[in-house]
Amino acid sequence: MLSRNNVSYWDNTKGLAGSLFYVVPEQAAYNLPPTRRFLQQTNQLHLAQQSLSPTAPSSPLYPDGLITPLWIRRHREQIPSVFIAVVDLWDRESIVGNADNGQRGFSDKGPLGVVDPMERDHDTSLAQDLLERRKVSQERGVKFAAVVMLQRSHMEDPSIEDRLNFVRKSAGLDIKNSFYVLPPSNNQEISDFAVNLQRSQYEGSMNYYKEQVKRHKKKRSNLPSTTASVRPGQQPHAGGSQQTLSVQGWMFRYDFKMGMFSECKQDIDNAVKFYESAYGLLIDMFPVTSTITPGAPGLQARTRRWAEAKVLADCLCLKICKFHLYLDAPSTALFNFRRHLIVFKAFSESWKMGDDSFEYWAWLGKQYRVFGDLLDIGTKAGFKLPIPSPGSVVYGSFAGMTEGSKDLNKFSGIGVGNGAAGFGVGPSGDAYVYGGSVGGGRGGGTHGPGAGVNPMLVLQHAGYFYHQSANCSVQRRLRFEMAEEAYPDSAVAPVPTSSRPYPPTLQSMNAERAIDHLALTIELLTKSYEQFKRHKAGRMTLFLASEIAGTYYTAGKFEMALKFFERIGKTYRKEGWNLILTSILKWSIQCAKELGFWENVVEYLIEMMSPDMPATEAKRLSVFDELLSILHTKIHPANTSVHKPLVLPMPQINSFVSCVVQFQTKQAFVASASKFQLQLATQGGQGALPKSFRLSYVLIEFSDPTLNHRFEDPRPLDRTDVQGSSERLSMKDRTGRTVEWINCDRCVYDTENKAWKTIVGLDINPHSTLVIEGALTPEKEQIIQVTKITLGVVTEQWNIALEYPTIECAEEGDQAGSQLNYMPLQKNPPRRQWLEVSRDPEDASSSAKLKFKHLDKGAKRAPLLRESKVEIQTLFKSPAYLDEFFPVVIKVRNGEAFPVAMEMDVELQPIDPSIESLDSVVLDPHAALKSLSAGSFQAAQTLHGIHLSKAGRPLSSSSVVQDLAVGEWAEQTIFVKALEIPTPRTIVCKVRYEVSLENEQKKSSTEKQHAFRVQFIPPFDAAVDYTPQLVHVSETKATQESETALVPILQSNVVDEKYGAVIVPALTHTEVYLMSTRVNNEGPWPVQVKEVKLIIGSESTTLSEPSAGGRDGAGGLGGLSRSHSIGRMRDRKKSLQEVGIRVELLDDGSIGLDGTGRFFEVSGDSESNLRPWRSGNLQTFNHLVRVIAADLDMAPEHIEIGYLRVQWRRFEDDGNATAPFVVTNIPLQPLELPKAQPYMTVDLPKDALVNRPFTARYEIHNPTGKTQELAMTVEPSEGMVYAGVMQATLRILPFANYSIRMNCYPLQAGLTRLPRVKLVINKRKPNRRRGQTSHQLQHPEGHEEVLVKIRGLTKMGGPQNTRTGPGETAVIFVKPETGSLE
Amino acid sequence: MANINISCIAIIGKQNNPLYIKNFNPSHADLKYHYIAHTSCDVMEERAAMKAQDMYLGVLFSMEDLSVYGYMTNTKIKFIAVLTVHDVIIKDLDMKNIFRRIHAAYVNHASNPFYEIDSEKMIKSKKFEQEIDAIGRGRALEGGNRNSLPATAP
Repeated sequence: MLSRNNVSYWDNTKGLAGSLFYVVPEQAAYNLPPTRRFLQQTNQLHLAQQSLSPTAPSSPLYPDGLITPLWIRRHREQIPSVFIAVVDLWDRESIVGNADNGQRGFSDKGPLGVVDPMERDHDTSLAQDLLERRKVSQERGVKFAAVVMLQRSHMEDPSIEDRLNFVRKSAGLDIKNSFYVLPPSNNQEISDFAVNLQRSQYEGSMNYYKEQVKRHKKKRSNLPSTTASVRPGQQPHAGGSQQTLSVQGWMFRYDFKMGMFSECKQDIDNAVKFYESAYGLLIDMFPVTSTITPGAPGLQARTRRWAEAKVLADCLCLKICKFHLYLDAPSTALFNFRRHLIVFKAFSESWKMGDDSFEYWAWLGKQYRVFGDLLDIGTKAGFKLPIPSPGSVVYGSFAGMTEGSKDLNKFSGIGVGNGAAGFGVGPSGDAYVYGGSVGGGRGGGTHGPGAGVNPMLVLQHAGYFYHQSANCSVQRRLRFEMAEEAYPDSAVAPVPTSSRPYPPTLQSMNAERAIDHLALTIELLTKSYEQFKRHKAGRMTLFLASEIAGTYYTAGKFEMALKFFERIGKTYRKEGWNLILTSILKWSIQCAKELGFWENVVEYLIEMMSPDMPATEAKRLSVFDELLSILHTKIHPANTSVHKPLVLPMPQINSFVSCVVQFQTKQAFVASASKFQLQLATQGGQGALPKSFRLSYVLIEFSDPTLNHRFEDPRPLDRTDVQGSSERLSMKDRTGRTVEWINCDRCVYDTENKAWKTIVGLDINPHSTLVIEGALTPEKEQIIQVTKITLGVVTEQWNIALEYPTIECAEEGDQAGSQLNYMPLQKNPPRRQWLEVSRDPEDASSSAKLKFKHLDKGAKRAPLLRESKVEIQTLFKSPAYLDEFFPVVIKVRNGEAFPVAMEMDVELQPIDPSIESLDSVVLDPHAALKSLSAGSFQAAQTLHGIHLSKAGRPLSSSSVVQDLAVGEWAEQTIFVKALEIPTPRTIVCKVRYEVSLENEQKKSSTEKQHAFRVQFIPPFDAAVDYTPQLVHVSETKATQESETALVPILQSNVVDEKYGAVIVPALTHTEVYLMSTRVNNEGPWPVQVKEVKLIIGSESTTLSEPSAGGRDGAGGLGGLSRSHSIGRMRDRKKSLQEVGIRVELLDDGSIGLDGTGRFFEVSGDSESNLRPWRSGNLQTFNHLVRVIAADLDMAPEHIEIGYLRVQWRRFEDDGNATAPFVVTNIPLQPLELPKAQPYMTVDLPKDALVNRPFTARYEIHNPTGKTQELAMTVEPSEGMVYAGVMQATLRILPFANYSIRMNCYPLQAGLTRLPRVKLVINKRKPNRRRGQTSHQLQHPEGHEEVLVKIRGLTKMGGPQNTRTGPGETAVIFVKPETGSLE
Repeated sequence: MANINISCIAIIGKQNNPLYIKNFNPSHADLKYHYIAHTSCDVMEERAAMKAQDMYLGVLFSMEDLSVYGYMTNTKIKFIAVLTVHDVIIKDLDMKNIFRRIHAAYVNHASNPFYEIDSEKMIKSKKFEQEIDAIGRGRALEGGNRNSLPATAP
């Protein structure tokens, strides 16, 4: 039963749910304390050993005490609400040593129910005892119940029932709820029994307390009114000490008791009401005069009763708060608490114990602490703190209270400004009116735009209260220290002085002296710390830790303080709270100084120098000076001994100088110098560093320790002369920052320090960047990385190293956890910059310019490759021509220190990887040409494994690899043949060889690449003019095929012997063209041309050219736009055959005209004697071509005549032409065939004379099979007069001609236009017939005008034989009259 | 608004780094507000995790006579207003308006193309300071805050 007696301070269980009773076990002899009435009756009042009434002189309360904890204890532990007697039923077997043990008087129990007299005796006395107890209980109104425990032997006893009944009846106990029998049973049964017992007694218990409340209520109402009972005359004769308890005091007593009983009843609502009432009454006793009892003086300060009342008020307040928390009204609880504080603050001032006295702060601290404890216990027991949600709850306020409390004479309890708060002393003056709005947190509150929170009434967890308490403790200590200063003597009572009219009492002073304030503060802060830690408010704990540290500092425990500071500094540093960090650093410096930890002092001072630490300039200067004086002054207290080397990892603290090292290039080469720059830049702007700071050395450590660089400045502090012979440049940039550049690439290896060393001035000047440029020459292949930069300050006593590990190394070095310590800025390294020195070549001394250039990202480490010492040169004459075997000489020089055998790969990179390239690269062009003609040539874009041998030596085909001697050149010529596309080609050659390094056994393969581009251009350009020739032209030419040329238009059927096709003579249309082809040597190189031949397209299939043996008969053509022409050719072949067009070469143009105007025969000459075509030379070739169309209607517009095949080679001036002749096919522009529509030719005399009429003959041809209707108009011309028909309509039959003769009369000399003859074909009829609706829509008149063109006209303005465009008029050169010339 | 007595306005970056802290109340040292601003970070994060929809987080905690109000933008920029409160009801609407103004000022500032949003450096801008100052002293900015959001009822 007791196990369920889990009494804790926090017990918010209600009703039957929890442990039902507080069970107090007592001995069997225990009797209830006698009631007062009983004592009075028995006249034994003096026996009332513990009367707690103030009326009783023996009571501790006599004469005017209010209530005592004894009373509570009595009701808690002595006077029960239910009295349960647990008794044993007498058993024979319990009589030990009795011989008759186990023997009844009667061997058997008869049916008559004869009772064993011994048993009866015992039972009677038991019943008597129970009866007594019952009576006593009843007097007090306490429910009495009895539990009779049976022994195992009883179970078999048939008489047991009777015995129990007897006992029960004799004791006058009700069978229900008053008398229980507990048979022997196991633990589980017993505990079940206990629970049931409590359940059944619960109501009785409640009734008891209900009665008690009722009784006291009645007593309270019997009291006289406070206003009436101003205790007249009592005070004078009572003489102060004999003052009895006032009515108000009695009221308080009853209220308190009712509260207590209600609490016992677990009626929290009422309990809180009573307690609050009591609290109000109690509070009213503190002011000078009471309001509830008008005129009554308040409690005298610093008396015993006053002190008691204060404690009582505190307790009551706490109780009230607790109950509000029970009721889940945290705001109300907090409200009560704060109200209590406010009220007592006002009182304290009136007692001259205001907030300048340590007593007040002690009290306040205690209040906060106790409240914090309450919350702590509560939350641990499951109380949920409220979460203030915006916009939901209206809380009450203390409006007016503080104002009211200031005027103490008027202060009447708490009720002065009760309107808004809704509490205060009611008009009857007897109780608080519980304000509705104060309890808003309970009821939910008002929603809406007016919603708001009084932040003072938001209950927070205990940590805040502990913290407050700690603050109070701090204040308390300060006040106490002040007091102690004033009254240092612990034996002499403080005497009031003018400045301190109300000193604390000696007693309180001495009591205070015994208290270790700092320990208390730390304890409170630690408690708070734990609370916040539990609430996962990590940053708050840091704050508290800083306070704890501060307290330790005050307490003189510097070591502890320093430890705390160091721990918390990290977070602030990481998150950039520099003001806080500064404060922490300042504290730390103080601590470290006290402790003599000068290394720490230096460390903190260095961090304090960072411009990120907010400080005034004077402060900065003092920090700087302090640091310098510690470092450089011998007589400084810090420098009594030589300090250990101090290493500071700079990325973990705020730094005053940034430090970056980088290489200029991403790659470096073995044994060649590679530049790097170290940039030391002061952080922050102007004034961040007050003076120059001198470093003793700068050490740059690389991943290869043999490359470490060390720059030293051995000057003592007072010398400022320029140090070192290194070149220095400086300038100011836009922001006024000084940029200094020092060239330190001439370092000497210092075996002592095992680094490359040079002496240089290392002053870090304010607002400047110091750039030290160095160069390193690695000796083996590796990846070089800067691992660490160390800035060192060395003095006699100090050796300080500021280390800047590069980030990669730092991350590799220590694990993820410590990465967090890095400063945020250093996580994002700034853009890499390279300070470039650009000098004016003429004036190198003065105007060197410094400029930061951005380097591309990521080259923090420089991969170091072994530099190949092989030199590759290429020789070629760019641009190259397409189709030729373009020779490229590749020269490779062995620059290594020993002979090596080299292999070379050559790769011709494709122009477009998605297209199969026909370009090729070969070693032997003659062989390639042979295989090309044999059709077995495979275009290869790569050449692999060319063994390089000494220049001049013939190419050895043997697989024996010959070493190339040191410094020798190997030469190899490759030939590149590019086709079709005139763009640059990229050729890559790689030279591979193996070398064995000095120190290593294994051979390392080295490769060097060389890529170069060659521009390819077409060698020739050709332009063709087609000039239609009239039949008579072909007659004059009279070639071997003249009979076909003379074929009349209407020829009888003939069988073409070549094609075997029958040409329908009626439709055959023959035209003869003079092809005038101009071939231009486009490139800059002279070429030798062996042969130029026109290949008529239709013949190309039948021609068996040696060079055209490629696939599809065109693979080897190599002409411009090969695929294009192939497509065209196929197209044409098909169409030509289908439409019956035949192209014949009438006159071979093997006659060429060179630039000098000399005719010479191209073919037939010996190769060597071929004259070169120089660049820009133009050759014209004339060919006469006849086009025979079976049906012009079906003929295409353009006819591919064919291409010009040129056999040529590059001409070398020295005559050593080794390249073979290659073939280039030059495609020619297609011939535009006249459309099958009427056209006009004009026949003019050669010239005309002014004022001499001449006749122009226009011939209109209708080559179509339809009758054409033409409208003719003649437009007049300026220079000529024409007389005749100006408008006419002509009708021309199919395949018929129509002649128009015009007699013209020239008026002016020169090229003169003839009157323009405009012929328009009226196409109305065919349109309609074909039903071209769209045409009809566009031309509602239904006829389309087609201009009849004139063919073969001389253009106006140009003597060149270009064809005429549409709408041109014919011109004639009119000579002046002969007469006028003379 | 009349009863709101702003002691400090703080703006904290998403890495919990201070961006701007302005003290309007000489009775406490700047350091105190730095501490308060720093400690609020935890509370704000906890609060914001509970309810994500509103940027206004209400009163975060009270310490002595200071009450700390919080507001967190969607980009996790935290605004903190520390009020010196004796005993008044602070209307959420008023607080929201204050925070909206701060937000607008911040957005104005962050819209500057030369401001590096992730730089973690303290904000240094005359215009911004003026705006915050006006908010902190409870008056409208001269010429009005052109970007201040219209006050709407929640």
